[in-house]
Amino acid sequence: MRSYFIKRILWMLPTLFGIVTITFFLTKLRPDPLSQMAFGPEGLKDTSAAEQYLQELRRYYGYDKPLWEQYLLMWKNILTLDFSTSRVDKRKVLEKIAEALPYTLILNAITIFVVYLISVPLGIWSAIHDATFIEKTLTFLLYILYSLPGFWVALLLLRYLAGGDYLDLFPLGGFRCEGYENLPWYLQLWDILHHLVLPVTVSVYGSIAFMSRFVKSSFLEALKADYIRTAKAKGLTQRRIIYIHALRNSLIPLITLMAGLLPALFGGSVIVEKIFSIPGLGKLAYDSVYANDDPVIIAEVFISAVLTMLGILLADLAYAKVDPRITFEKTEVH
Amino acid sequence: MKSWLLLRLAKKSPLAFFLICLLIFLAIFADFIASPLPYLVWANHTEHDIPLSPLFAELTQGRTSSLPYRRLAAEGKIKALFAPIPFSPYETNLDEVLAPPKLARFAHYMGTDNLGRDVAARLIHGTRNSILVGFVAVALALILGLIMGSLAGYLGGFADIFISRFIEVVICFPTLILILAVLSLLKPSLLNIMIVIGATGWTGIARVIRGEFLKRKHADFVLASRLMGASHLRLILKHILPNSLPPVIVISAFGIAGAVLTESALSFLGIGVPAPEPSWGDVLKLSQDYPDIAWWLTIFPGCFIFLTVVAFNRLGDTLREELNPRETFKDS
Repeated sequence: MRSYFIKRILWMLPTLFGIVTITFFLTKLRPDPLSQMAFGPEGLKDTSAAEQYLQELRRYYGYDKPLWEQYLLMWKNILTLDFSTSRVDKRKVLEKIAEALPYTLILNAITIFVVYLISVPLGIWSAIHDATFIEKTLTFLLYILYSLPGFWVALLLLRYLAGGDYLDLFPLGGFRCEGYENLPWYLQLWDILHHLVLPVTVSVYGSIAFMSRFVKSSFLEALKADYIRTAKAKGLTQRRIIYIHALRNSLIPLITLMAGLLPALFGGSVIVEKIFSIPGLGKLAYDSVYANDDPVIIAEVFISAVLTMLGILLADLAYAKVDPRITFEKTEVH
Repeated sequence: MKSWLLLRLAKKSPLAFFLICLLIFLAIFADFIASPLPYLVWANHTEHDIPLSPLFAELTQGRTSSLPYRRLAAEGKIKALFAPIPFSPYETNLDEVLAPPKLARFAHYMGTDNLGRDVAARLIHGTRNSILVGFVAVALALILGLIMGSLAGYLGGFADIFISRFIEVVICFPTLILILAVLSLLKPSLLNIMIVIGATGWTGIARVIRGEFLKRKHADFVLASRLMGASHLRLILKHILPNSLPPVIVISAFGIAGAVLTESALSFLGIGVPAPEPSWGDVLKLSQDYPDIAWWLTIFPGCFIFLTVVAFNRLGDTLREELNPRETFKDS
């Protein structure tokens, strides 16, 4: 187990290396973003002062060095966890990311929690009531939900449930209201939850449809197993068979799905965060790609890649922990 | 058995089959369904020289006629048969900005956008872009995935390690950020969007193909043909690959739904198909600016996207049931 763990961690390194290298060249391939900073509408226009400013910018961001030196410098920055400063507001990159991370984490944690909370009982219910009329209708509805584009649902929710012209139930966006600091803690909590209802709804429903289907088929599979027949033959009650024997075994594959949800949630949050103007990692990434803010892009890609890989690794480990039939000793890693 | 697959699909999920045929039809014949030019003009009381079929004349000879056919017909100066949606996706009309949907002759069935362009015409012509992006991006992903997967699975060893790492790199890269970054390098154009979506979407196919190859490369039928002197290329293309295709076909169907969704999301973010070109996501993007009015800018494009996605997802499910890849996973 431990050797497997170490092996997996080591295998993460080439992947990280690849990701960072690709990001580096993506940012370097662009037509010089610095000259836009100097000559662009927000720069010093076409003056000799702008020329001098451009030289200064190139020196400051290390563009005057050869490419390999810039590349090594970037690695030095990453390994010392010092991602230099943002080009937009000159603040420390880590500080910006540390500011954005909680929003994304809270949003995704609640999303994953709600997905499991709803889809597991739903899946089990539809497995037990398989092929009844209500179950078929429900499956059909879930199927429809699965195909609804998230940004469209977000727009519809905003149009009809927020803002005020139809129903003014929820705020239009953001994470907390004005004067948040002066509220007592329970109202603060309420305020955040109130702001999160719509974004969480949008990020949750597709996964619920997918997951409950998965739970259902995995539960039906478990019901067919030999130990269920044995349990029946022993004369156990229906209840005990379903909730103790079948349920526990059917939930094991769900852990792997968790790993699948992680990157999707980090990637998908760009659109949700942008529509609901939540200042999380997704919105930061979007903004920094647009502002040519290379240090932020590199740091962000690095951090989200690490988080994703760690998530997958943890899910695999949990899988092995829960299911004693699974050993990693013999399996190949790659 | 396989030659009847299309028929069985049509029988098993007729609605999805019909929707997909309809979408392809709309994509191919968009110029005939939404056009300001009449199909036929059989009475001409004006002093202009009007061809028998202005639409046909424009499509074949490239003659662009700028006559206001709709007005002439409304005033009774010509008698003509118009396309179902007698508007072009590009023509602006500042007199009818954000006009609500109306069912009448020469009215905007799905309303107009903020420049007075007909939403129905834009959506019909947008179908072409979306379907094209869906198919081409998936074709690209298929080519990449098949090549990478076969190489990794067949060669094994160092090639396998290298390609597997590469697949993991693409998976762990936040997809939307990668697409955004690449699109800020390249100019956003239809072709570039296809390339970017294809280039980020091949990993699933490659992984499945790799697994199939690993499983089959030591199978008896492969060994037999190798003994008969088959070359490596022949082994890959003729023997192993065809046997590995069913799961890939299923993934591709879902892939089209995904690519269509990604394209409209990109247009929605404002980096999809460039400006005057119509696109479903582009209309949705406009609707963001008018949250309190113009419900038609939100509802109609969303329905187009949703119906497309649901149809291709259903196609994928039906294919999975028909081809039953799980069975093929189990055998050998």
